[in-house]
Amino acid sequence: MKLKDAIRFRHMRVQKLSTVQVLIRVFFLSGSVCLIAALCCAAFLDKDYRSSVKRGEESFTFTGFLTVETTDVPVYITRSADDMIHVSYVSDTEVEVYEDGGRLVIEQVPSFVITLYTAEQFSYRIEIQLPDKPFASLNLYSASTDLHCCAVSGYMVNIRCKSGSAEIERLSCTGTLDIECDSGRIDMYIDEFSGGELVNSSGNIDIDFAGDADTVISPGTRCYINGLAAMSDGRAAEKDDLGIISPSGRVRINTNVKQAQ
Amino acid sequence: MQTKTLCKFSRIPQTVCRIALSAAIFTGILVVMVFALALIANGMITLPSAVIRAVGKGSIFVSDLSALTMLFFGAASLLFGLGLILLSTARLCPAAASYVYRLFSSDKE
Repeated sequence: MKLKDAIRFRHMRVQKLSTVQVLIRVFFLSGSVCLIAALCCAAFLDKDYRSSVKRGEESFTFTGFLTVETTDVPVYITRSADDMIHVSYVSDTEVEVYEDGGRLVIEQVPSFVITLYTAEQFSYRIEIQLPDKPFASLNLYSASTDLHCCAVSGYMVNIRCKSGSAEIERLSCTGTLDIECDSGRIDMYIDEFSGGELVNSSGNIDIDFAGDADTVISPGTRCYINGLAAMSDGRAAEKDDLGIISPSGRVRINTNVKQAQ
Repeated sequence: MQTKTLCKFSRIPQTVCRIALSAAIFTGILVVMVFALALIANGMITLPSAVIRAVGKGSIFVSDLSALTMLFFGAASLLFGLGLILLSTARLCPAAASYVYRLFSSDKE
C-alpha cells in the first residue's frame, strides 16, 4: 500500500447507510435506551412507589340530602348497621366525599379512562351504607357504571343512568320521582309512589309498582304496561301521574293501571 | 421421470421440501411482523396512558406502574416495534424473497 493511500484512507470502503438502515438503528438504539431507563426507574427511582389505587373510608351523620355521582366505578348501596352514612371506595381516580350546605355529595371525579384492566384486580367500587331513614332529596347519577341499591326512601328522588345500569331493590318515593335513562338499563321496584316523570332515550327500563300508578304515555312512546303494548291516550300528565316519554328503547311497567274514565 | 429427492433416505420430493421451507420462512416473517405491530399498538396505548397519569387525571393500564416507568416502557415498546417492522419489511422480506426465488430457480440453472 502506498503511503499516500494509507494517509488518505483510499483503501477503505466506507459503507454509506441508507435512510432505512439509519432509521432501524435509531429505533433499536432508542428502544434499548428507553427499556434500560424503564428498568432503572422500576428498580431504583420508583423503588418506594406505592400503588396509585385510591382508597378511602369516611363516616357521616345522617343528612336528609344525598347525591351520588359516578362515571365508571360501580356503586353498591347497602343498609347501615347504625344511623351513620358510611362511604368507602377503591378507585383509580379520586372520589370526593363532602358536605355541601347539608347535602352529602359522593362524587367520582371524572377522568379520561383508557382501559380498566385492573378494575377487577383491585375491586374498584364505591360502597355506601345508608341507614333506614327517608331522605328529603336523593339523587343517584351514574354515567357508564352499575348502580346496585338496597331499599331506599325519599321525598324527591332523581335517578339518572346514561349508559350503565341501575338496579334498585325497593324505592319509596313520597314526593316527586324523576327517572332519566339514555342508553342504559334501569330495574326497580317501587312500593310507594305519588307522581313523577320517566324519560328514556334508547335504554331499557323495567319498573314494578306495588300499588296503583296512573301512567300517562306521551305520543310516540313505546311502552308495555302489564305485558301489553300501550299507547298515548291524549291526556296530559298530572302531578300524581307517572309521565312516560320514551321515543325509542323499551319501557316495561307492571302495575294496576287506573283506567282514565 | 425420476423425482429428485432431498437426501438419499428421504422419499420426499425436493419441490415439496422447497415449498415447505419457503412457507416456513414466510410464516416466520409474518410472525415477526405481527409481533412488531403488537409492540407498536402497545406503545401507542401505553404512552398516552402514561402521559395522562403523569398529568394526574389518568387511569391504570396493564399494571400498576408509576407514570415514569410506564412512559419509558411505552416508548421502548413503540420504538422496538417500529424498528422491527422496518427491519422485517426492508431487510427480512427482500432477503427471504430473494432466497426463495433462488431456491426455486436453482433447477433451471
